Amino acid sequence: MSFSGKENFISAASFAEQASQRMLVCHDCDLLIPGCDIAEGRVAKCPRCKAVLFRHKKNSVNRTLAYSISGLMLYLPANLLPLLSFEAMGGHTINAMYKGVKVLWSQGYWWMAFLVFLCSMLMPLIELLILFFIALNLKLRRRSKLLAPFAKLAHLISQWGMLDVYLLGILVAIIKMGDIGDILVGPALWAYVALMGCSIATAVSYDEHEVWQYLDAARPLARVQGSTTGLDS
Amino acid sequence: MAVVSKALDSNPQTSTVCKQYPMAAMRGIVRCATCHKVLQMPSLQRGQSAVCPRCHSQLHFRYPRSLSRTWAWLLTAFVLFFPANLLPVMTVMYFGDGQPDTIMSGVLHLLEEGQYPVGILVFVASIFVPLLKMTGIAFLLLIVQLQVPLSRRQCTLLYRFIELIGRWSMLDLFMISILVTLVDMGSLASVTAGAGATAFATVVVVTMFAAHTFDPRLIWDLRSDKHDK
Repeated sequence: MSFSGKENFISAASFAEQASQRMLVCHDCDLLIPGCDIAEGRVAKCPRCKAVLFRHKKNSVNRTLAYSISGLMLYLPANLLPLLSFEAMGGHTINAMYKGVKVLWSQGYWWMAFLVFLCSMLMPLIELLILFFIALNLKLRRRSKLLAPFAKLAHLISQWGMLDVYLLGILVAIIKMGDIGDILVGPALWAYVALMGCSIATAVSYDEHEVWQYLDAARPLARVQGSTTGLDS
Repeated sequence: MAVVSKALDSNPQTSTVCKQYPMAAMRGIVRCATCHKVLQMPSLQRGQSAVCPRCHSQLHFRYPRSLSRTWAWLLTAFVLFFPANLLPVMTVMYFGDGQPDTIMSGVLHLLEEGQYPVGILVFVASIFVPLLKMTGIAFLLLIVQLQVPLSRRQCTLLYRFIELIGRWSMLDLFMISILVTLVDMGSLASVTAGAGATAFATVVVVTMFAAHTFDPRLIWDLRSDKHDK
């Protein structure tokens, strides 16, 4: 057997890869932890700072699919149908989620309109669509090129869908205006509460760890990018 | 709870664990912030950066310039906190009568009407949480910069708490967006937003960014072994 320099390099590299694959690193305290597989439904925690490293979720793909499909079906009724109606002195006005954005925009508060649109309408929809797409890919054993960017995006926007906060906003609005006139609940509120439930359930059942393991590519080593001086070659 | 290694966790002398399993960065091992892949950091020359092979995010041992970025967001939030609380966030007009409400006067109105749970809820979400976030982040930054030997585990808990509660401050903003459409009867009754609401919304977003850019691993880079198990 002959060992050329190149072969040596590759074997050293794959050894380093094997070593690092059996390791976990805590995202909060940077502790190097020997990795292990955990049973379904259990949680891996950092022994030092108790951060949740990952969860092995039960039946994640099927549940994510089911919840995201239900959420997507509820999305349009929840956003377009009347959410609340207000009656006072013979007057009658109706509110829907998209109208709040429209009115704020027309009053000149475009930055607020943009934020409300982003957090209560756009991000929840994107999250549902992306998680649906990812779960569908895993279910059908497909490897779309969009899978990695979408999983990355899902990780980025996970905090910005705020349907649960919006529900509290509805509650406060009802109580604040209760003494001026009568507030009636519209059909969208029920669709909305169900949408919120589905959206939370989708996020909870989505198993990021599983998706990244599924995606693990054949190129194991960190790549070097953007050399300004150029490599010695 | 299944902890990664039962033996490690049940060990009362966690400090020996820390010696046995040191910081990943010291061993040249890096964890991709996006997809959590654990990798050996390649040696880099000037102008180069390492990229995760799985998700193509840049790899860093610590978030780059975490402290200065977090300070920048925090100072922005601090400056905006004044207009957010002093300027009116919304005006409820009722029979041509009504005056602009700031966040605090809105809370006081709710309390006067006897709506204690909701009044307290709005107070916590709109005033207490943003203040707690800003002081908490400033506190963490100072601990890291002045190398104050406090319990690193408790500081990490504070960080996690700050990251968790941030989004709930958007409550007031959503309430305003609902009311401006719901109560829209021309001269009879109407609700309009105020300039304070714009500042307030920005405070919430900016403090969320501040929490994102702070790197909790900096707390663990401090040498405070004496004070921490």
